[in-house]
Amino acid sequence: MMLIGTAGSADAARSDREVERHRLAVGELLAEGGEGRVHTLEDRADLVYKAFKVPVAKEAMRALVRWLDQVTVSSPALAARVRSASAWPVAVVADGRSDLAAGLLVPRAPERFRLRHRDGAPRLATLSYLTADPGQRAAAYGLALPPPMDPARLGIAYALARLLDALGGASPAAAHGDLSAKNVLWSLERGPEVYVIDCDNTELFGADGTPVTTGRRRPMTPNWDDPAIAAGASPDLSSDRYSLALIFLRIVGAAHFPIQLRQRRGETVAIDFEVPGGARRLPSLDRSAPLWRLVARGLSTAEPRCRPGAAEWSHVLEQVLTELGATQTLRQVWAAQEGVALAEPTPAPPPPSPSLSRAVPGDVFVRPVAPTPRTQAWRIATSRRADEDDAGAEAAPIAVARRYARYALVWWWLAHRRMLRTLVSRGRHLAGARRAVFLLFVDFALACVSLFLVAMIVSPFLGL
Amino acid sequence: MPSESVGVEERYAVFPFYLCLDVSASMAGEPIEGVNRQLPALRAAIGEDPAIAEVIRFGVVTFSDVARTVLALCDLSVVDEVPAVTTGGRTSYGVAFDHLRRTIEADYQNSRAAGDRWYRPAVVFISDGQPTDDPATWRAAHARLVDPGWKRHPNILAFGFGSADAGVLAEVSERKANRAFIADEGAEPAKVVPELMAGLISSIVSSSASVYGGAAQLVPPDVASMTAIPVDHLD
Repeated sequence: MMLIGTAGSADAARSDREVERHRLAVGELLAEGGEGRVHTLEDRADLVYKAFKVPVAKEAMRALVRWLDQVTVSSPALAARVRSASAWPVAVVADGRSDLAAGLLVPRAPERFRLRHRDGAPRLATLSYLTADPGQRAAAYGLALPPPMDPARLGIAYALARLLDALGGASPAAAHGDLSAKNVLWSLERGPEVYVIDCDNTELFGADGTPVTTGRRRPMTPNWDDPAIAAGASPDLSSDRYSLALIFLRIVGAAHFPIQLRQRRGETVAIDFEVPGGARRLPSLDRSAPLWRLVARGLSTAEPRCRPGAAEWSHVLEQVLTELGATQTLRQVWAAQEGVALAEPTPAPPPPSPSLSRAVPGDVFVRPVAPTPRTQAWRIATSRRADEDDAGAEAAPIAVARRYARYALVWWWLAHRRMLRTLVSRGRHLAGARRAVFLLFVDFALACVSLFLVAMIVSPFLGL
Repeated sequence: MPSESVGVEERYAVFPFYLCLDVSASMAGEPIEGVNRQLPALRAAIGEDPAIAEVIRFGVVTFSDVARTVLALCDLSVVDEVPAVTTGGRTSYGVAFDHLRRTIEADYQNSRAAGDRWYRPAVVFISDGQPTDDPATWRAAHARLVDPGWKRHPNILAFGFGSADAGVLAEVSERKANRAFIADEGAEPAKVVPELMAGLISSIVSSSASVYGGAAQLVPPDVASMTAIPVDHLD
């Protein structure tokens, strides 16, 4: 098989998807990590050359490249999903007759997976942007990111679940093994999408769960690692399941949730996950909803083999998004991952062996709680000499008042938006009407206070 | 074993770095211009990467006859620029150490009130000269700064060039291995300062990665034109 759509460097392609290092037109250095350097190719804008710092067994890399070819034959739709959402290697770069690979040719992440800060420079849209208070990211980088529990965030988790379903559902099953913030890019340009990079870290697993290739150390990134994996050991099939649950927790909840240290100490972890009031009454998000058991089982270190698979995640997230009225989000994910028209959705089939009713293992508990205003307020600080600023103490009450005023404004806006949504939701008109009446009283009271302030304070200044 | 519930307010512990910079008259010209050229690069390298910025806090303290906080300890992602530093005066190590102790204590209390947890702060001490204040005075101030009885006592990395003294720098860094560095003989400050600032950036980046592992490590900068000052064994 020839390297797809080849020219230039592609002339060097061999029939078995292999290219000699000396025939590549290697361009500028794009990035450097612990395991390799990524270069542009002067004659291929859609591919990059990942050069390994320490050469890797060629056979393991060949197996990865061939895996997607096999899936293309057996299940073209799943292969399309993998191609659209990952930088899956397209060719092995050989260096002479050695059994070692010098690197890989991998697709370059499309432009939509980049963000621009205030300085205008493009940067990879890593998950790090989504794992903290969106207010901080707005103040720091000028980015308008969706709030916690927004369908867009759920859609990103859903897109990742569908990709992992395609990887893990194939034979042999593929497990990335290092789904860290830096390795999962995201975009909302065409609806929620993910793009997983560093796929050379992937291992293929046979039907009995043993790795197809051996002897390759596959480290996980600290803070995104699976605490069930012993130090020095490589992640297994269940580690991607842990990563999916952790990514859901951190990006949908928009917070750090640093739980691994507790888990390594053998502590029981109880997680308070903030869900807005209206959504907490939906069957898919209330206290007994399957979603919370799914997260708890996914994060469990007591029974890693019982962690829910990506198909189960897809199924549950579809229910959540549907109940939130975000069916458009589902259609956008399907369209982006399989290139199908919006009118022809391909929903995930129910999981092969539904295990939603399974009891949680008991080492992780997740419960939905009411959101509380975050204590930290963010704004761009014009740097100044701290010892020249004596007004800090006096300014503190003003800052607190301003913060609470902002909270009140945000509450007002969210309450009205929720009321309107409820009012137009099928079967929930009565609840919407009740909210509308309540908000009418609130708005009337606000109008009275405003009128009073104008009459007592502003009017005298105007001589009225 | 049960633990308290984990919510959105629980954040990673932060690693505070204080750049303590000698701005005495001898630093005028190329050395201080080099620092002023590199500080925006440091702000961009740390502040524009959310994964680094959220676990690093950075402040700049300068000293000559007096010590000043030029940049209060902050999250560099929410600072628009690091102010330029200017030179003048003598090289009083004592005022720098006293100012650092007061600043670290105040910053710690403010951070705790805001819900932040701290790793032990690091002070990156850079000087091109020997202390001009009385040795007993600066040594007493230094002892207060590194007093083991004070829970917030920082780890100090000391860097010297020009007429800085290796023995004094070793003392400043408490004679700990790989904590004091002196420029190679004949190395020009115009070359040393940019290398040192670039090394500081990579040191902070590497240190930030260790924070995510749950056990922060202070990674010393790798500066080509500087050599670690050897430290004796005590036994």
